[in-house]
Amino acid sequence: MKEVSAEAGASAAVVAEGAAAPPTLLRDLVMLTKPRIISLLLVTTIAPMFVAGRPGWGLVLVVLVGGYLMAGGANAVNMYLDRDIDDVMARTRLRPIPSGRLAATAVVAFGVALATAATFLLAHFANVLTAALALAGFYFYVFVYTRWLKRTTPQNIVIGGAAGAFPPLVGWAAVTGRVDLAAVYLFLIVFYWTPPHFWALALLKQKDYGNAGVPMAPLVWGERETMDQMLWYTLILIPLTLLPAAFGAFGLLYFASALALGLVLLFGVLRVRALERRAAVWTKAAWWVYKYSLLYLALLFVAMVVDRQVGR
Amino acid sequence: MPSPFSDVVFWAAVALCAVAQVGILRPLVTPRRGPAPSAHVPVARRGTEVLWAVVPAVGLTLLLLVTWRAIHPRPATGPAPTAPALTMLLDGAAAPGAR
Repeated sequence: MKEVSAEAGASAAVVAEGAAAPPTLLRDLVMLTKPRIISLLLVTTIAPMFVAGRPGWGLVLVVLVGGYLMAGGANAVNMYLDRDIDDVMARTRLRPIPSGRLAATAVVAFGVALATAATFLLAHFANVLTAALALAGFYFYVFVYTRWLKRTTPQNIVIGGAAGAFPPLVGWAAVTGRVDLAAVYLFLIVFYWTPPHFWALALLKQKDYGNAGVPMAPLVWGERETMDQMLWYTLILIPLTLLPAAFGAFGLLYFASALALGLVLLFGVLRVRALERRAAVWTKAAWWVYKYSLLYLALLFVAMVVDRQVGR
Repeated sequence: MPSPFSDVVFWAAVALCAVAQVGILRPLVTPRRGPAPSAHVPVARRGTEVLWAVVPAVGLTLLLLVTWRAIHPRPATGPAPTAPALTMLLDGAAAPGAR
């Protein structure tokens, strides 16, 4: 019953990818890169550059383009590997491969070409460590998440979240040429942010994932346990965002911002959990957590930049 | 940020992380109380699930240890380090440009 209502709520809010405009080759190629998802990845790539130092605009542009190409390549290869389940999920069946507009082999070639171009761009115009970290994120997303974990364990989002956590390391390494403690924190913040963010969506899209045979947490653990797990990961995420201020990487402005943003996220997760326990409709609350968590991560990284700029 | 405040933040973080980590691991090592998994999806072995949950916990523990050393750096002794980035991470020194 809840699953049905979740589907209805989510369907009202989410238009299937690609349904907005008539497809053209260019639009399909852009769609393969999943630009809406990449926009947040780029925030978590570029913001750390301004936290780590004072990058020139040329370097920022290189990392921006290189980051987009690498993430876009990973997303294209992901669409190739997931072409069988994309066809049975309402959210993804309008993608270029399942709808028959692009050949699967052309899509994987496109993805590999983008990743290759990104590797060259980052290695040549930034540094080798930056390129290696970006490439590691590509491999992790394609092979560890998509190929291995996604269809075998409900922990897919937890471990697979590491793929989305590479961008801060990429941005940091582009400026400093190394990875240090503050950069590791940025990695882990994205890592621990991913489960509550993605499980909020998984709660709303259970039927889709079930049809596709993807063992997302709500289908394996149940809704209540998934909500509990969202709470536990949020309770790790919040202190992780505060600790960099404790060892001097950020100041009080960031600390206060991170605390306020985190408490709002915690409130949202607790609300979903409380509604479910009262047998009330929790779909809107879960949808709110999903959307707010996107804003949360972007604002958190903006707060880091502002704090460092004000402190300099 | 003054050191006593850093200590409070650190130990509060340790306590929260410990509680949350127990919450994460408990349902994986105790009999499941929720509904049976959907018949449509494959179910991973319990041991594999526990392993995937333990790996981040180990990483988190190491990070907290390094963070403690960053908050309370030891006076430098012995020969100069040869690998700055790695030594910085292991010794727990603050990030470049840290205040």
